[in-house]
Amino acid sequence: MKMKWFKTLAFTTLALAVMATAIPVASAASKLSGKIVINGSSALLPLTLQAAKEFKKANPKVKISASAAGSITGPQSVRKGIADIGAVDWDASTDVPGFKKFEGQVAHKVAVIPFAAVVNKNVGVDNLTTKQLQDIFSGKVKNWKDVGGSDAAIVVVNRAFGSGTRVNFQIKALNGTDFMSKGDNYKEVKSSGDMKTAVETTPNAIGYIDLVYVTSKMKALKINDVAPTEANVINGKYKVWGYGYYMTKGQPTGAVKAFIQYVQSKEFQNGSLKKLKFIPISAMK
Amino acid sequence: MSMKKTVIISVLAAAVSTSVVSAASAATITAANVQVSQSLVYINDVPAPVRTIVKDGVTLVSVRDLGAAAGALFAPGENRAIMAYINGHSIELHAGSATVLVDGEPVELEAAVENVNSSLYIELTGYVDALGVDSTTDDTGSVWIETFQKLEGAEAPVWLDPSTILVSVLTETGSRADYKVSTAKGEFTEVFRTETASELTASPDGKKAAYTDAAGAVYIIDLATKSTTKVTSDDTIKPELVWAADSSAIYFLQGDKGSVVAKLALDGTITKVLEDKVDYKSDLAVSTDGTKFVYTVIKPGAVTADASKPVESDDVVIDMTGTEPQLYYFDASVKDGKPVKLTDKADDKVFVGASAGAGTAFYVSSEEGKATSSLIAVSSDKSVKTLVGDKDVVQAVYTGEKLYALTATATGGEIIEVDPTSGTAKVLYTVSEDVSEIVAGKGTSIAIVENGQVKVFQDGKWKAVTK
Repeated sequence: MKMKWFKTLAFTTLALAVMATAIPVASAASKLSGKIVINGSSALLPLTLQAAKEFKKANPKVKISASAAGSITGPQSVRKGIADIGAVDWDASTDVPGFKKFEGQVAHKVAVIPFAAVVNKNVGVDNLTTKQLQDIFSGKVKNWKDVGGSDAAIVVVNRAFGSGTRVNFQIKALNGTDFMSKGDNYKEVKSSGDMKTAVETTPNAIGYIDLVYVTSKMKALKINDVAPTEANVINGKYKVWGYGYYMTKGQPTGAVKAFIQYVQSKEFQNGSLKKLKFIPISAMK
Repeated sequence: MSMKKTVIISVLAAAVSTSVVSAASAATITAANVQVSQSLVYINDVPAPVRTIVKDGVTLVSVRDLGAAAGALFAPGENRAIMAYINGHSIELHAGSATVLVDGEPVELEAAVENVNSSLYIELTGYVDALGVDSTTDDTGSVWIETFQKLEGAEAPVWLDPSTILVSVLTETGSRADYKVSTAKGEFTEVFRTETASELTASPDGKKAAYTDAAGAVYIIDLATKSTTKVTSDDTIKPELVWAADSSAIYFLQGDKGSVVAKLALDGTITKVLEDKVDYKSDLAVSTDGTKFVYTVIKPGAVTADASKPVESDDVVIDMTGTEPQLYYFDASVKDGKPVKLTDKADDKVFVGASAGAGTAFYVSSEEGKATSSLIAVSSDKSVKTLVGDKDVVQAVYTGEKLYALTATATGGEIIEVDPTSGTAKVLYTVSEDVSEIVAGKGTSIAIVENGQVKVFQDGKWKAVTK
């Protein structure tokens, strides 16, 4: 039986239903196409590659390539025009210690990254204050006995200039004070992997690393009596964390915009991003 | 219409007659002024006659005919109101008013409720919305109304058995609830609720599911009893979990870069299957006997940057050559065996899967500059066969026995079944362009996701099992 009047009315109902359930995936005939180049933070690379894999399932005509060589190369690549997205562990549209802001770039939050001060397992200290951290990383305090540990020279392991982890640790853990830059008991490493190895294998060493990379072969310190845990980041007690950002030249459009939206979507933030031990940006609101 | 249905409707209509009459004093229109017609709507697949009138160009439907057939209960309200109750909601109607109160909140209708010969008539869409039930209109113009409560916002459907689908519902706050949904009527049961756990990976027998917590520990939930068991406290990152075919173990990629292929026995023992220092493995598929593996490797681009130069010089060079995903095959039964690179073309490879024995890998190939994507098979001897090359393949699903592809056409899409051995393809269904995903499981029928709703093919049409 034909009932055209029903059809018209029912169509309105269905249209409303579609709007209410819209999710950031393409339909069968996704028209998005193009090429996205992403470069920058090595800490964010696993997240970027995972997101790219998932995004391409809904948008198979979009080609995504990613690379990493440290946070600073992200906004540099965007400014140079060789990348569409610069992955960086700080907001590169603002001035931070050591780096001026990148004019015209827009920062998009994609993840929360906690950082931890870590020591070799032989270090007897479990907690340091901000002042003690400042004194150790500036080279003023050189022996563990001066901060409650045993009589042993402190080996400071620092990330090289350009590291997003270094920028965040300097801002959030040291309140912006300077690092030492040379000395017999001073080492500089170029990646999170090198930091992990150095702290694990160097007696009396202290360094800092993304919380996700802390292993059972090192010890993560409390800072001001607060343990570096995801829960303490979310409840606001632990201050040494930063956002991971995607930088774009101006506001993104097309496939780049859609990809960033996917990374920020609740599906990805509460799915693969958590599995990779990042904290969703929504957790900090 | 069956006699039984007629009797039920008559009884319900009689039950509400008192309340309808009580409102009769409000501007009653007599049948002489208005033509009362009989129409059919399909309520839960059963045809139901409803009286309709046309007033000022708007067609109105009998409140009691449609409401009673949909399962609503009626009672007189205050100030000559009619109260309808259905699915835990109340609807308050007043003859002559275009405002109805749904759970006490005013909702405006397109036309006022009319009283004709002591029966109330109401605009359909507003009424259906107020009743909180779903309606669709088929190609013939017939209206189908579903009164079963359906799960709203369900995502990530996976078949558990031929009549049950596992789905997830995410909230904006980051929590997630997982439900078993019956494909018969859309009835749903919550099986798991979490703030922190990963998605559930259902076992092949559909009885269990595995997940990791925030630390990386692996748990198994019994989907019947909802009880969970911690299998291991190992805190390494596990980007992908893959069940053994007999549901007796879980294979997983290990580390944030998915570098290691490992096996987790259900007693908690972890053994490394492959550790070749190659990062960014994904799409892990395991043969039925657990000895052969297919996976994808993504190589990041190479960056040259001189940190000694001023930041302003932007001394960065990126080489993305060879960063396209490539498929690998690994036979763990061969002593000192090495992974074999199956592909080397610079196409994007998505929806990667493998045959039951992992002797053949499948993927959807998307080449730069080519308008359509193809379904490709590549054997462990690296021989390549195009299974679907004349259509635009946008998704593919492998059940271990059959391949299903969703293709995009000029007018919508098609679901194609492919015999992986012969390469024979046949169109199973023609679907709308709003279908974003097909879901298949071993021994199950196909489900689709259309406009966010999970639908299964029943009685000759796609029926929504979620809202």
